Amino acid sequence: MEKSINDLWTKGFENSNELTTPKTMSFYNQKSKLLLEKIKKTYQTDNKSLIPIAILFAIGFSIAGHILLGIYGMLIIISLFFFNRKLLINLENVHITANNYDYLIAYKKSIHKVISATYKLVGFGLPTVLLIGFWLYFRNTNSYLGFVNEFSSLKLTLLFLIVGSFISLAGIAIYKIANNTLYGKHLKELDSIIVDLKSIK
Amino acid sequence: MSNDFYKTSIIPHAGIIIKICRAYTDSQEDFEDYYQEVCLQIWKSRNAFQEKSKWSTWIYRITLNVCLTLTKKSKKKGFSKEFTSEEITKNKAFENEDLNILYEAIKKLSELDKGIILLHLEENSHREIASITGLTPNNIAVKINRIKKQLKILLDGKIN
Repeated sequence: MEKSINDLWTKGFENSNELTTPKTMSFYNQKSKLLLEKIKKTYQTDNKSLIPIAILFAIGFSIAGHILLGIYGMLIIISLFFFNRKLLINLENVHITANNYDYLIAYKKSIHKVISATYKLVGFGLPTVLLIGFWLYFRNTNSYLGFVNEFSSLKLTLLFLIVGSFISLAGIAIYKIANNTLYGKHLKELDSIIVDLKSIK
Repeated sequence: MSNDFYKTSIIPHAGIIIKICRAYTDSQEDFEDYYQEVCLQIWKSRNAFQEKSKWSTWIYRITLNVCLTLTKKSKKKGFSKEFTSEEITKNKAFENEDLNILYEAIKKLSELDKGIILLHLEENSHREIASITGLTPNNIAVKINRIKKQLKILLDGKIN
């Protein structure tokens, strides 16, 4: 039997048809499919985590006696959830084309659109939202009233602009770090597949 | 991956890749995925190849590693499925019926044993198989004897 196994093997492959190579262009199909699934799943999980945060925010501030601020925060976070969900739908609407390379390029563009939209939101929306939040928190306190009476409108506006800019920059930096941590590896992998596919073309 | 690299460095050794990938897959679709992933990894690791061993040995090593990794991954994800007899007939990899039977028997071996017997059937020396698998040549010799006995039982009465 020992000889038979070797014979079977050798004779079996005498016919060159047995060793026909598969077409090479679909190289990355499975790989890209898995990667895009990973990106989508991370994005979905990331977004879904906003819901419990919103609820905790509302409960926490309500217990601390700031019901209005709690509701405000919850509404803002839930709005962010819907905003992200809309962006995710845009990602899902990238049409799968016969050409994997073009599909990945389109997908990458959509991801960058999502990132760019979020940067704008963090840069402009976050300072506004936080400043309103601060106002809701401190509006009835003596220190707030003293503070408002002490400064002129011009100085107050300048102060809000400075604080707003600081919040904006800090928000952008934090988003950048979070984005790199969550998606950096996947995006690098996506770039690498695109480069590989380009060289096959 | 450039087409030149594929044509000059992979195609001449495609037989090795095909033979090993066939042993680790049950459908044409999986086979193509494994084949493609092997080619991709060969290309990606081309700069790590030091000419201490033959290029074909390097290809054997990568092919086996990729097949073992992918099989492990698909088992972990629960992707491996039991095929019905109709599906097995449809998915027959080779025109030669005896070869199909031999492959079915090889597929029943453990993942590492599959690799060892394939390398042996491809006439690699015990030393080469040892360098590819990370085992000792003595261990390989013992394992090959044991695997052949196992195959003999699995093939008993199936091939004239």
